[in-house]
Amino acid sequence: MTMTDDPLLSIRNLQTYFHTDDGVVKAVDGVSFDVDRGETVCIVGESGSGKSVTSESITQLIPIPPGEIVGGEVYFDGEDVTELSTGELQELRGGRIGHVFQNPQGALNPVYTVGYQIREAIDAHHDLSKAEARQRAIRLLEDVGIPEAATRIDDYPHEFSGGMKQRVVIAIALACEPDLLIADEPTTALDVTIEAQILDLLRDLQDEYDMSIVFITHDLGVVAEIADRVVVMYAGKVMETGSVEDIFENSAHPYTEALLECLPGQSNLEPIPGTLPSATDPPDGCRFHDRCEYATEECRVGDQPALSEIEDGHGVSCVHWQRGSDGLPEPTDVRGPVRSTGGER
Amino acid sequence: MSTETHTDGTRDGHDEITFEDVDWEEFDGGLEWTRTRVAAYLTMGGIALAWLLDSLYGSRRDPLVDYQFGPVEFAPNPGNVEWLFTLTLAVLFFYCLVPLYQNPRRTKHYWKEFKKNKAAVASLVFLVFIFLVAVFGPFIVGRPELDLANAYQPPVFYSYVPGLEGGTWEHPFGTMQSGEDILQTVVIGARVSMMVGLIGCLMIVVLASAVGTTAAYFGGLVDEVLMRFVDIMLTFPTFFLILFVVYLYGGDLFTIILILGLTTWTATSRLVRSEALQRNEEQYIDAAKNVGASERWIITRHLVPNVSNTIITAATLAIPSLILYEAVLAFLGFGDPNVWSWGRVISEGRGDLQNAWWIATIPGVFLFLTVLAFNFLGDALRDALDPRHE
Amino acid sequence: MSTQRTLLEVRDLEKHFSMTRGVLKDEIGRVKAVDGISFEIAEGETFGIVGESGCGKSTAARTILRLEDPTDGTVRFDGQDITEYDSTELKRFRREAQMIFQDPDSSFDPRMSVGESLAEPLIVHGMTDRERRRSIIEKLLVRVGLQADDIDRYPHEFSGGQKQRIGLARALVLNPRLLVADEPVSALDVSVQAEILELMEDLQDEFGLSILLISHNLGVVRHICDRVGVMYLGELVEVGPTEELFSDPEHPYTRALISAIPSADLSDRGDRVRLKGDVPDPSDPPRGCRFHTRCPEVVPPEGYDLEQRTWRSLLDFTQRVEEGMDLEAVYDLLHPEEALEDRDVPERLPTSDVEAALRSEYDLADDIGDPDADAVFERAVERLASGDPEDARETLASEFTTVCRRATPELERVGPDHRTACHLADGHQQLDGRPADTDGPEADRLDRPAE
Repeated sequence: MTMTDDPLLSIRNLQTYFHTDDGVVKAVDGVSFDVDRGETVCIVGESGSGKSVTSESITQLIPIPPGEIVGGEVYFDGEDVTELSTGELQELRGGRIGHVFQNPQGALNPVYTVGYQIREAIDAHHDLSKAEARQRAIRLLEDVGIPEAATRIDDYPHEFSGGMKQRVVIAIALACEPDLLIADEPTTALDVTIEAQILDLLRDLQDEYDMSIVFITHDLGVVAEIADRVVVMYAGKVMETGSVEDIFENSAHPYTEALLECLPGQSNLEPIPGTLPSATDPPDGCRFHDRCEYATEECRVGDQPALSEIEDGHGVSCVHWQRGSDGLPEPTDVRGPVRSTGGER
Repeated sequence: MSTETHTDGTRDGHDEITFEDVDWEEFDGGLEWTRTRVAAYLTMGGIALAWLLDSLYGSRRDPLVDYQFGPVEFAPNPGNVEWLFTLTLAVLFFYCLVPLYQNPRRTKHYWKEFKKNKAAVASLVFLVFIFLVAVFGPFIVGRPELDLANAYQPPVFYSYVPGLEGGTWEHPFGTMQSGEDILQTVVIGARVSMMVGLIGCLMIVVLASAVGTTAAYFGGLVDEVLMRFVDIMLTFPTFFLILFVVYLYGGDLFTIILILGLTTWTATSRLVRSEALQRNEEQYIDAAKNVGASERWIITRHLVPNVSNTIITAATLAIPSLILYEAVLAFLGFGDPNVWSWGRVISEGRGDLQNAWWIATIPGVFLFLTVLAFNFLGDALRDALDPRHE
Repeated sequence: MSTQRTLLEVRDLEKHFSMTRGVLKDEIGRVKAVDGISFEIAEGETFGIVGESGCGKSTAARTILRLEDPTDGTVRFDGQDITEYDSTELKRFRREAQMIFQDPDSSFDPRMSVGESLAEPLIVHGMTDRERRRSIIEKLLVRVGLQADDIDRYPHEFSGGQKQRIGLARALVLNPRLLVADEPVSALDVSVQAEILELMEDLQDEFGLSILLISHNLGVVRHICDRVGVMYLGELVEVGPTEELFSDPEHPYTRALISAIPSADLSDRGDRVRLKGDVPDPSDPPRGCRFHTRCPEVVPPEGYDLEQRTWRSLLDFTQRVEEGMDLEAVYDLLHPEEALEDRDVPERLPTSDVEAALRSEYDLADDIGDPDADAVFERAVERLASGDPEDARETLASEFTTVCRRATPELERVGPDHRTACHLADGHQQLDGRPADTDGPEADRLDRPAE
C-alpha cells in the first residue's frame, strides 16, 4: 500500500436522516472526522447517539428508504463514496471495507460450513482455485486464532462458541484484506473475558493486515483498550474528538466527563441524569444542555456549537470552550432524585 | 415510603396504600368479575340455553316469532347451524370487537397499519357489506321459491335480442330454471358462505390455539401426544369422510360445517405451536411463572395473545378455503339439498351457460369476490398485526 | 452484615440436565450445570455470583427460585427448605422471592401495558380491587424514577434502562424479601448501567432487601455486593467479601476476571491476564481442578524446570492428545490445503515435519528450556507421527502430570470469611507449585503479567 498523508477515510458534515411516521429523525446530523491509515478510531456514544448509523452510512448499509443520506461527503481513499453506483458500492463492501457486526449468531448462515462462508467472501472479490481459496480460508482462521483451523474449517457455525463465532465473522471480514474494518459493537454480546480476547485479536490483526479500524462501542472501557483516536457522539452530533489520551486524561466536554464517571468497576459511580433528547425534535443549543451540570443560558440557544480545537487534534463542541481559555464554569446541580422522563421510542 | 407520593388524590381510600402495606394473608384469589366478562358469559350462556330449549321443544316447521314490518318479515326459524352462527357472532363480538373498543390506542395503531393496504380496505368494506346481507338480507328479500311461470328471466337491463323486452326490476338478477329469484338465492348463499366461513374459522381458532399453545408450553409427552394426533389428523381424508357421512345421513349443512371445522384446524395448530415455542422462551413467561401464575394463566394471558397474530392471520386465510370447500361439495351435489348455497346455484346453472349465463355467473362472481376479499384481508392482517412493526 | 439473620442458605445445590436421545429418552450424558454449590445470604445483604457464560450461574439462580427443580441439595429460605414446598407454600414463596431479568426487551409481554404487567403479580395473588392495584402501581412507578402516567404506555415506548426500572418495579410490587437479579445491566449501555445499579442499591436500603446479583462482569458486582462468589463450570471456586476479593484474589480465575474488567485506565492497556479459549463442555468437565485446562498459573510437574508459559503450552498439547489426536488430525496440520474428501493419509508421517508443525501450533520454541521435558515432547511427537496416538497419550500422561489434574481442590478457608478452591492456596503446594521467583503470598500477584 502506498503511504500518503491523506487520511484513508474522511467524513465531512455527514447528515443521515430517517423519514418515519413521527417525523424526520436526524440520526446523524453533521458529523465530520478522519481515519488515518493504520489507525483505530472509536466512535463512542449511548444507544440512539447515531454512532451505528454513522458507520453504516459509510458504505450505505442503512435501509434507503426510510433512511437517506441528506448531505455531506464520505471520502474513502480520496474518492467520494456517496457518489458511487450500487455495483461499485458492493465491490467496496467486503472488498476494501470489511464489516463486523454485534451479533455473530446472525452474521453466520447456520446451513453452511464456516469454510464455505469464508470462501464465498473470497470468491466475491477474487478469482482463486478451490484449493487456493481453501488454503486462504485456513490461513484466515489461523490468523483469527482458531486452533487447528484445518480441521475446524469444515465445521458448522453451531459447533463454535460465541467468541469463536465472532472470530469467524472477523475472518470473513478480513477475507479480502480490507483497508478499513468497520466493527460495530463486536464485543457487546460477549463475556468480558471473551471481549478481552477479541480486542487483543483486533489489535494484532491491525498490525498484520495493516488496516484502519472504525470501532463502534458504548463502553469507554473498551475504547481505552483499543482506540488511537476517539469520536464522542451524542444525539447525532460529535461532542468531542481527540487522541485516546486527550479523551481519557484530558477530557474537555462535560458529556465525555459524565461518561467517564459512570463506568462500572471504579469506586464511585455517577449516573448521567435524564435521557437522550427527542430524535425528531432536538432541543435548541447544545443537545446535551438539559443533562449538563455546566449548562448556562448560552448553552440553550442557537445551534450546536462548532467543534473548536483546544489543542492540536483535540476538538470540543461546547460553548464554554469556544472562547478559548476559561473552560468550564462552576457546575450547577442538575442531579435531582434520579428520574427519567418519557422514553423516545 | 419516604419519597413523595405523586397522585392527584382523587381515588378515595387508596391514596396512602403502597405495596408495602398490603397484608397478603387477606387475599385468597378468585376470578375478577368485570362488566364485560359478566355480559359475555350471560350472552353466550343465554344463546346456548335458547338453542337447547329450541332443539328440545321448538318446532321444525314454525318460526320462533313472526313480525311483519312493512315489506320486512322477521320470522326466524333457526336450525342448529343458525344457533351456532349466533353463538359465533357473540364470541366474535366479545373477543374481537369489545377488546378493540376497549383499547383504542392499539386499535388506532392496527388501523393505521391496515389502511396502508388499499385493496384490503376495499375488501373489508365489501365483506362487511356481504356480512350484513348475510345476516339481515334473508329477512328483507325473503327466500327463493318455485315459480315455474317466471323461469329463465334475464337480469334487468339485459335482453336476449336487442329491442326485445328483457329483465325487469321484479327479478333484478334474473331467475333460475324453475323460476327461483337469483337475488334471493345470492342473499341466502351469502349467509351460507358466512356461516361456513365464520363458524369454521372460530372452530379453527379455538382448537388450533388450545392444542398449539398447550403442546408448546408443556412440551415433553404432552407435546408428543398432541402433535402425533395432529399428524394423524393431517393425513385424514376429509373429503371422503364427508362423502361417507352424506351417504349415510344425508348432507346436512350443520354436519358439513362441523366436519370441516374439526378437520381443518390441524395445519394452523402446527403454525401456532412453532410460534408459541418461540414465545415460550421469552423472559416474560419466566417472569409470570416467578410470580406464581398458574399454567392456565400463562397460556391464556401470555401465550395465546402473543401468538394471536399467527392465529388470526391463519384463520382468516382459512375462511376462503372453507367457503370454497363448501361450494365444491355443493357443486358436486354433496351439499345440503335444503340450502341454496352459491356452489349449488352454480352447479344448477352450469348446464344452461349457453342460454342463461346469469344463473351460474352471478353467484360465481360473488363467490369469487368474497374469497378474494378474505385473502386480501388475511394478507393485510398479517402485516398489520406483525409485532415487529410496533 | 454477618450479625444479621440468614435469609437464604444454599447447601450442596446440584442441578443436572440429562441429555436424551430418541423416543425412548435414553440418557446419553448429563450436563452438570450446577454441581454442588453452597453459600448463604443474610437479611439485607447483597451476594454476587460471577462467572462466564456457561458456568451455571443463571441455572443456579433459577434453581434457587425453584423455576427449576434441583437434582440434589437444599435451599433454605428463612429456615424452611423450599425444595420441599407444596404448591400453596410455593405460591407464598413466589411472593417473597422475586427476579429481575437480563433482557429488558423480552421480559415484558409486548401486548400488555406497563400497568397490566405490573398488576399481574397482584392479580395472581388475589388482589381483585382494580383501583387499589392502580394506586399501588402508580406510586411504585414514581419510586423507580418513572411517572405515574406511564402506567398506560406499552413496553416498546420505553428505552432499555427505563424498562429495567419497570422490571425492578415488577419485582418489588409484591414486597419481597429476596431479589434475584440475573445480569440486570449487561444488556444496557454502560452509561445506563450505573443508573440502574444505583437505583437497586437505594431500593435495597429503603426496603431491607436481600439481593442475589448474577453477572459476568466483576466490575458490576463490585458496586453493590457485600460478598461475591466466583463460579466456574458449576462450582464455586472462591467466595469472599467483595473488597477482600478485589484486593487479594486467591484463585487464578478470579484474578483473570478482575483483569478483564474494562477500565478507563490507559496504563494497563494490552497488559492484562488473558484467559485462552472458552469454558469447557459442562457435560464432560475436566478432571481435578476444573479450571486447569485454561489456568495461566497451573502447577508445573515435579522435576522439570519450565517457564510457566511453556508449561501451559505443553499442558495444552497433552490435553489435545488426550482428547484423541489421531494421524488424520496431524495430517491436517501438515496439509491444510487438502479438502476432506480428497485426503489420503499415509501410514506414518515424517517426524521432523510433524514436530515443526506442532511446535508452531502450540507456540513452543525449539528449545523449551528443560532437556528432559524436550525429550518427553519429542518422544510423544515421534509416536504421533508413526500413528500410535495411544502410546503418545500414555507417555505424556505419565510424565506431564500436575496436582491440578490429579486432585480436586476443596473450598478452603484463607481468611475469616474468605474461601477458595485452588491448589496454589494449599500451604504445601506453594513452594514447588510456583515459578521460581514468586513464592510469597498472592497479594502482589495482580501486577505480574501472567504470560
